[in-house]
Amino acid sequence: MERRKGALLVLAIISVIWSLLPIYWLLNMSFMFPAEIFAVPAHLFPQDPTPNNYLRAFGYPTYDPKTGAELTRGGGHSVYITGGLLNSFMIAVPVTLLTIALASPAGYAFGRIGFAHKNKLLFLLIGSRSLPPVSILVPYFLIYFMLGLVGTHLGMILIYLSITVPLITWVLMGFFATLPVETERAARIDGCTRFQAFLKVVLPMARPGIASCTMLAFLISWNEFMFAWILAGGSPAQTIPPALASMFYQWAEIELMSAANTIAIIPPIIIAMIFQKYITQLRIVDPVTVVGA
Amino acid sequence: MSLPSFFKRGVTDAQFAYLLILPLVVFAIAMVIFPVVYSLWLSFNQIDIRLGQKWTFVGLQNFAHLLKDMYIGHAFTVTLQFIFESVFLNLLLGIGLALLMNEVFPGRGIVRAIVLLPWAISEYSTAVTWRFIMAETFGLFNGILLSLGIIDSYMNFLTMETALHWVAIAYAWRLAPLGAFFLLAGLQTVPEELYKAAKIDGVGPVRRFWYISFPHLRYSIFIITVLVTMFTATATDIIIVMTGGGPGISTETVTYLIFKETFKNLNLGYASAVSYVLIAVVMVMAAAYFLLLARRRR
Repeated sequence: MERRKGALLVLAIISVIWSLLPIYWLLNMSFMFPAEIFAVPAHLFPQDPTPNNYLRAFGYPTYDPKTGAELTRGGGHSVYITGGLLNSFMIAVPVTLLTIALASPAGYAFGRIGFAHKNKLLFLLIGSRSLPPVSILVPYFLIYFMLGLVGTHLGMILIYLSITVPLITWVLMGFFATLPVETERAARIDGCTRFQAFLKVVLPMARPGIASCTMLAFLISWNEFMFAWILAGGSPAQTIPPALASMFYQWAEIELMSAANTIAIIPPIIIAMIFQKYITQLRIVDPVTVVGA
Repeated sequence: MSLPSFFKRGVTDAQFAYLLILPLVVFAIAMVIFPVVYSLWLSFNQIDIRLGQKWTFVGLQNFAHLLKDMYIGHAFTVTLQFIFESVFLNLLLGIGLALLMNEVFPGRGIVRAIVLLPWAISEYSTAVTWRFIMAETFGLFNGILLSLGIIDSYMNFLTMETALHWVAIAYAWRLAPLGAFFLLAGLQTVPEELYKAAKIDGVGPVRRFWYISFPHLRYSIFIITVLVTMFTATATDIIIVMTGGGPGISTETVTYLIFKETFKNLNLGYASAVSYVLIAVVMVMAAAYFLLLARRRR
């Protein structure tokens, strides 16, 4: 028994190292002075840690800790980072809310109501979700260009909704289907309409599923790169991933890139930590069982 | 009355369902079907965007060119290899992590939270991070190997032969936690008594996994295989940022080829034609998945 426990602990430590080492490496480099990055062999922790890269990322001037001489002027990168973060929030939050508002009724309909052509409609949804984003970039760019949606928050919100809504509907459909029907039936007998029963009885029961889908929708819209880069890169609606990409091409400073990337991954990491416990409750159910093909 | 009387009475369940789904259908048509059809029209044209937008109808020429293009075959081979490696790594990591997270040990809650983290990080940041790790002049990987005395001096690990493997590893690092949590949910449906009974009968851990856990995981494994195949077939960010298709063209997937034709060579029509091949392949896969599941039920 003791040996087994020991083996489990060793495996747990290996898993933790595997998961955290790349993140740690980013963090490590973000606290280094440029010269230390190229130390051979690489330093596993900064010997002379400095917050300079973070100060620069947010537009503050930096100084040499020993001589006090100014190393870099303020400004510059901060436009990208703070603007990118702000835009990411301005886009990811409405997308998350709208996704839940649109996808939970639809998931309920697919999961709990029988109707004609359900199969075809479901395939339309799953099919539209599985299209490679890069393959519809060109038409998107031309259409957005004509509609004046290039580089706008609205344009980005619409694109992300087209990604999140079908996916979340599919996931929630499975979740709704596994909820017991008795409570809903009782509510109907008590005189609730189908809509009221959904709102007052089924939705509260589905809280864990909706919580994990909230996380999913937020992460997708926060992390998406390709559409954001092509359709909003360099514009006032630029989100954080293309903002980082434009930095990468203009200033290939590894320590600054590490700091900027660390900043960018903090919000999704916090969200994942908060909602982590719900994700095991998200039973991914055979969609065809639900549809009854 | 807060709700319109319309909701109160006179709507059948089916009508109610259509009403709830209507926004999605409208959305799917406007945001997906229309661009895809538009893309087909594009693929019949040669589009010059350098001086205004000059469209020339060329019929099937783009598709004819596609058949002669030697990069296409290469790109599909690379994509296929990427998919195989990615599915293999995701299943290996996913099953391993899920089995571990299902055991009882001190600190399990923290381990679960940490294991999920890579999945929260964007593909873009994953690619940047792994690019830094594998870098030739300052990378962590080189640093560790040198410190352990395995190599004498820093070397390049992203070569023509190995770059794709490292991309697959980086991709699996980010994606595997999702599969691990799907599998964990599957493992939690296995009745505890079965394990206990098997243990009393002296069945070893390998056979316990194979005869008790695996049947409960089969469905999750299938779903993960399908999802990872789809994700990998359409992955673009990781290639663009981590290797840029290189060295040479060794990591040029179909998605990267489309990206290159669109934004580097500005062959919009041709890029649309290649896109169409990829869309067709992906749609066939989606349909196969759908049919397979449907047959399984009968």
